[in-house]
Amino acid sequence: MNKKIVLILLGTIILTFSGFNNKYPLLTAKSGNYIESGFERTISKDGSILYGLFVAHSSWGYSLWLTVLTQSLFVSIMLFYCFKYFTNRTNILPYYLTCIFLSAFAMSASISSSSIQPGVFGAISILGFGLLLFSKQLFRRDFWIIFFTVIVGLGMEPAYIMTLVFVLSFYAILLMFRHKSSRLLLNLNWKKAALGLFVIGSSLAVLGSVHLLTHSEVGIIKQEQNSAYKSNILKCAFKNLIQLDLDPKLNVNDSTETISILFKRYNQEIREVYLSRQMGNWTNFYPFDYFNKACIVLCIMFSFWIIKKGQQQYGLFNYILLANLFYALSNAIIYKDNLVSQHHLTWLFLIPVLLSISNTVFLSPKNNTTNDNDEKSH
Amino acid sequence: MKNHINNGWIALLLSTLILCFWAFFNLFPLTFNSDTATYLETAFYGRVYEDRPILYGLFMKVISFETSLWLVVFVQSLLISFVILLNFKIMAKQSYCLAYHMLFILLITFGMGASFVSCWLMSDIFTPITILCLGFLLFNTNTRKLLIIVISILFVISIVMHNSHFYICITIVLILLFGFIIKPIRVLFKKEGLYLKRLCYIFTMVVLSSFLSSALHQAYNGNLKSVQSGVFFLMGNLVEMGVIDSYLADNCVQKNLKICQYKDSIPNNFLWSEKSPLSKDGGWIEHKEEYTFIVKDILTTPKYMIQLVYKSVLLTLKQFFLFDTGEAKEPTPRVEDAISNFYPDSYEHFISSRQSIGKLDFQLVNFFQTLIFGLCLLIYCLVFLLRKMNTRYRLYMAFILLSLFINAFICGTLSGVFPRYQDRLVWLLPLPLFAYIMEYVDVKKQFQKIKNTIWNLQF
Repeated sequence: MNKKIVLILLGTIILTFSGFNNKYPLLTAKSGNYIESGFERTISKDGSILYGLFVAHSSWGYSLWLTVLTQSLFVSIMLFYCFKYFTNRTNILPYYLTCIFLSAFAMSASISSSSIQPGVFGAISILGFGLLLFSKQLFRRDFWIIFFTVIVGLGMEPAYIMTLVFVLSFYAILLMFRHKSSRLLLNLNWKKAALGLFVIGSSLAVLGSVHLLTHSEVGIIKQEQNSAYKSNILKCAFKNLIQLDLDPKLNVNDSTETISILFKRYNQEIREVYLSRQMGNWTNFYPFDYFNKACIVLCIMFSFWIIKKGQQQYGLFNYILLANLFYALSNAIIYKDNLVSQHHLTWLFLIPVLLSISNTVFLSPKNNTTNDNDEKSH
Repeated sequence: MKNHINNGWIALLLSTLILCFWAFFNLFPLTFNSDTATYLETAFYGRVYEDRPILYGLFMKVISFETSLWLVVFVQSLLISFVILLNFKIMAKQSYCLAYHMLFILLITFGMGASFVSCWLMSDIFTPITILCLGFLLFNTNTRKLLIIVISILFVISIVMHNSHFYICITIVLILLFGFIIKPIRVLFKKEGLYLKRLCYIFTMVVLSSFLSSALHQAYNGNLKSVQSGVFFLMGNLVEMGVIDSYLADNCVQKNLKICQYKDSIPNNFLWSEKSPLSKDGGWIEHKEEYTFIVKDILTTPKYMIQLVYKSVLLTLKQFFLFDTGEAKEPTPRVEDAISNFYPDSYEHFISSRQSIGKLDFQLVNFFQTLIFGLCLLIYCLVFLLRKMNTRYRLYMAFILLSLFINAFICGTLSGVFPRYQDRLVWLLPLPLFAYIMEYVDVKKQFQKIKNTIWNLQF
């Protein structure tokens, strides 16, 4: 048990690599809006108030490092649960660790976790929702942790709720043709589908309540966003889907609103902000960008090979692929022509790859043992 | 036996040449900010500056024969190649393989920052030399006494090259000594030949280095104190941490401190900025007493100590994960003057180097270094988790990891978070892995096994 906790904490530190490498959590031009909305209890013009409240409280009003470490901790825990409930192996720790390191150093998980923006909660929510729908039997403690994390995580960004509504609808249709699509459905049944619906509803209720309490508005999308389209919604969705570049808004400088809000709210950290690589203009994601895209393509190609071989991880890959597709569509619906990067979710393609590898005899049999008694029951 | 000796010489010469890659590519040894000039000035003018020891400057002056800085780069590469070879020999022993050694050198030259650090006219090259000498002294078995004496001398000299080395070595040795108090660790150490006598010997060498440093400063400056400027570096770091801002906000009313008049305008670059209070009212010497008082007050007040501990943990983590190579921007006028004054024949080559015209780019190297760092760290974690490899290799890996961590802690907390501090050591991570492959892994057999596994994947 202790080993697992130590490794989850190690995973948290590794996932915060990009923040440490930058010498400060990664900021975007919108980070200031989120922070201000949390402290002023107003709806951010870029999304819901929930992320602002999360930043304000998780940072203790003192340090944004606490926020990114909390974000990384959530990701680390969700990844651990994925390996705990989606693989047949008893010794999951090596694969879990491999996933943490590969997603942090070779893909965009670390950048997502170390940024002051709600993108990381997309991955957390999708992983958690997948666990609720597709895992065989969750321990009670794990169930409640995942349940509440997903409810809160979904509310961080309206697009996530919309994405999972589409995903759940798709699976509901599949359930009607169960016998033809059992491999896709994994362990999904109507009871779990209803649970999924309940989670989405709860998230909407929480979000609406928070907005009502803070701003006398229930609506989760601000009026200004209902402007006319400049181009076709499917075109926007496609553009979103291929937008794999790391967030260009990672370039901040002295004149951005984010910096002035940091001066106001986190004044004791302002020296650190100016010492960061972002402010010094020596962050450079170009080689990493290309490598990240190459990794995504490799993961997808490997996953199609899994499909061809008929392995069980095929269902999980399908779920992640759908989540990516519907996320692009949801962003097109909500944000119209403003492109939204997919990099917050694309690193999830690594998970079915590693889960599939974990089901082969890669390590010698004597290592396929567990050192503690805390095992899942089926 | 003759084969081994020949292989050793071939390895030494080849790796020295390969490690000089960045100097060849740049068409001149690499320089840094004004620091390279400062080292040259300390040696040629025979003055000890407050912020650094004189020995590296003297090293450059003597080794270059006051004629060519290429000799400095060559000797630096030779020294680092020598200690790398020795470490391979003590770990892999009879299984030493030239091919894997060269593969390691190629990896750290083109994929990491080893070549850059070797070709840089900075004392940072002596940090990995110090760590590898320490590793040799800890892990060697049945080695000739002459070699141990040579490495001990190199170890002592390397420590004196940079202010941080003494603190890094003393911290590592103290941690290892502390391990002797805990019985299971003591048993483990003894089993692998790490006796208390050996650690005490190393401790003595570290203390000796402090005397050497003092003696040198006494000879050049008439002042025995080895580290002149520790309080200023610590003060600079306290400013960057934000602790000084809290302290001055609380204490300026009660205490009559000269720095209070500047408390709202202290720049981040406390040590070197023209707007810094340090450069006003008489310079470093004038402020030493006041800053020593402030630092002592902070270290003895719980409120600031808690802040300091929190920031220190953060700074250690930041420094551990910040290891970009290639801090070689266009030379400052001070460096140009130094080369022009002390090496006039080399000036033309220097001014036409790629660095001087801003044509060096390390983006790709930094990207590969990050990937290799992540991969090595993953392998280390898996080795410790699954208890793979034998105890000796796990101890050696723990030693390398500890060195990186202590380096990050000492430099991050006492000086500041700069990529070059970690870049000088991060490329040591693959060394134990290559040594292990040399000794235990039949690569052809393993490759066939992996190939069979992939083909036989059970779905």
